[in-house]
Amino acid sequence: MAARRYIAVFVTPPEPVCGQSADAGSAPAPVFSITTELLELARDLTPRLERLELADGRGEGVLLEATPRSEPEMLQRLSLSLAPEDESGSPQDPLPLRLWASASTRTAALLAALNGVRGRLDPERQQSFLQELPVEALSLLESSLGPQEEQILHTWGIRTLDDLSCLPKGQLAARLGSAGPRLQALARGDDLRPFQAWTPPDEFSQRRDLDWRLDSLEPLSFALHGMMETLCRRLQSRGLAAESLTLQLGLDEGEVFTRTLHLAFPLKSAKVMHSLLRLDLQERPLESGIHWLELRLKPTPARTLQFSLLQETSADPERLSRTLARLTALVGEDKVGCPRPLDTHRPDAFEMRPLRLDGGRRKKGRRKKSRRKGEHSSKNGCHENHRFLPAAALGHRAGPLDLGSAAAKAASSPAGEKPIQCAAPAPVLRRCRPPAPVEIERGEIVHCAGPWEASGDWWCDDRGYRRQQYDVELKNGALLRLFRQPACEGWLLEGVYD
Amino acid sequence: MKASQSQSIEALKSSQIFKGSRLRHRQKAAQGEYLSSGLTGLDELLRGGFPRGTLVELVGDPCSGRSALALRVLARAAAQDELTAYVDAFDALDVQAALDCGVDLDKLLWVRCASAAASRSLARAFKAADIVARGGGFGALVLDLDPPAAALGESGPTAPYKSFFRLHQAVRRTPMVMLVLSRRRLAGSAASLALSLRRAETDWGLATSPGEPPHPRVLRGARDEIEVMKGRSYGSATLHRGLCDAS
Repeated sequence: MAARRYIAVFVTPPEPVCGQSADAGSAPAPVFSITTELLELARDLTPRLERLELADGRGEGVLLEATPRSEPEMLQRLSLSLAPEDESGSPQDPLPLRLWASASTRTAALLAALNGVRGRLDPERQQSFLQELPVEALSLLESSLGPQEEQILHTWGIRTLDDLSCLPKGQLAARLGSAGPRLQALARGDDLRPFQAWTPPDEFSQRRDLDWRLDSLEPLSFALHGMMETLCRRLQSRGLAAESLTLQLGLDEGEVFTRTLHLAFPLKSAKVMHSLLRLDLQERPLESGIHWLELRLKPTPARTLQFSLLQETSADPERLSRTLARLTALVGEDKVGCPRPLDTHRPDAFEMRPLRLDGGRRKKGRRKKSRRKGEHSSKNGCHENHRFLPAAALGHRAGPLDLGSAAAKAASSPAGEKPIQCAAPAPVLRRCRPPAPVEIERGEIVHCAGPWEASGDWWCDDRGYRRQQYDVELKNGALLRLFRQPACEGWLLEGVYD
Repeated sequence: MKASQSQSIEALKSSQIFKGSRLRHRQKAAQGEYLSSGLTGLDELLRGGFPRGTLVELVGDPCSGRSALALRVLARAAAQDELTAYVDAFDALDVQAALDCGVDLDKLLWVRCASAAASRSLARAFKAADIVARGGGFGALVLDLDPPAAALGESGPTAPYKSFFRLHQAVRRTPMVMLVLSRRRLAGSAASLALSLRRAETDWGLATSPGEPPHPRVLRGARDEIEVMKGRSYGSATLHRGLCDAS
């Protein structure tokens, strides 16, 4: 097997890096960064490349695998291609580039990060070259070499990598732990791990420029269908699914229409996603023609489902996605979803979240436990919204059963069976949104309980509220929750107990 | 005449056909073809619970306990790891009340259909219920057609009769129970089961102070009566809501 050569490349400001590594405490700012041009150039040269990461977030670079024959050419092309050009178009010197080739991945990275020049190191010269470097240089590659370890090595009289590489391995491990042999291997120019080739993430997007502009949904849908099928085939071949899809349409006068659909469940069916997109576009008719379109899918690992032999299969995500899309098209995006009460005392404060198949499993036990007993949540020092509300709204459990009435009903039951007692939660409120003004004469009220004062958000100019709340029973049997605000005249109907 | 009728009823009860019918109901309940209401008494009355794949009407006055019962059924379905839906024609659902009833909100799809015109709200609610039923994947659905303002005597919009047949067809071959909340019976023969609810008593937790007559202090709960208007069996049950020992 031919010997491998490795070229480390950093694009950088030319400041010394070792001096920065001496600063203890907070992590220094990244020095090197990977540019898109560098990655593209590296991928043009070889598919065998690895992303290098220096210790403690001190930057990133690229490591290329080469053969002794291809190495000179790659070095030359890298130098010329990344050279900034002056006004006349000729390459400028010096380059903001650090290039070093070596037989060891870590040695190449170390030399490229330390030295501001380009060069190559033959295998026979590697050891002698490394010997002269200070021990602190290893902190670029190994995060375990902190100020404390450096101090220990300094106390031992270890100044250079040569000193470190000569120490007995076992005793070094006994004193520095697992970091000791690792540092020694780096000092000797040994690779701690094999080269790991990096594969760029797949992009699932497709763009189509149209010869003639599209004016209606039907031809647009036809064009989208083909693009969607292509992208979904690519997704499926990699075992992926789509998490969201983004459509961009180029309109007249250079306008761009962008629409992103966040799917409730990862999907990989072109048919389903196409119908979701079509339903969404139906709700947003475009008034100008379309000149180009671009469709982009955001990939995510496909779901793995473990079906049970004993339970019925749960909802089909694809059908459910289609159902949600139809509902959204019918009533609007903010009117469909899972409600969640907000952590505030403000009455009727909730938010809508998208429905997710696995959304409730993690929180189910904890939430039910805290709510069931009507306990107050102590999270962040806040309490439940219903703390100051009347008992009817607190969801108390049913009390003693009315057995007397059960006996009375037994005789009148048509089938001659005993009337049956059962327990349900407290009367629940059916809200009147928005609260409607009501006029009730005093004689109509049979029972009344209250007032319960509530106020909050007074620190917000437009959201502050203050109210007095009453529970009222009318002659006709209606159980109402009414309230009034000091700032306003009259009573408002908040809801009906049912 | 009455004696002969009672004799024939007793004879029917003791017959093999009747016993077989009851046995079949028990078998269906064991196989999960009924959705339990979570209320033992009501389940006994309905011989297993609400039959799946049917449309059930919960009929009663605005404060008769329909919502409490419907939310209880949703809570029960969610406890069985099923998705539930609440199609709300007039945005009447109170989120905190649903939570207090034990509904798992992560498994509740709330479709708010309210719009400026009541008739349009109803039309959207029917359409949404149809979409959910035909889409499948849900264990229970509540179609709330009663406007809260109806408690003050305002008459709600009229629901189209034929729409219920469409809904009945949609749920017929699914494991879903569709509960329709309304003031009076609307679905007619499209409903397989109809329960009438009536509030019999309200508990106002009277407080007594020395030298003063008892006065109401807090709304503690209510007692409702449930009657089967249409179904396999007829009878009645009593539903207690929120009776607690307030000090």
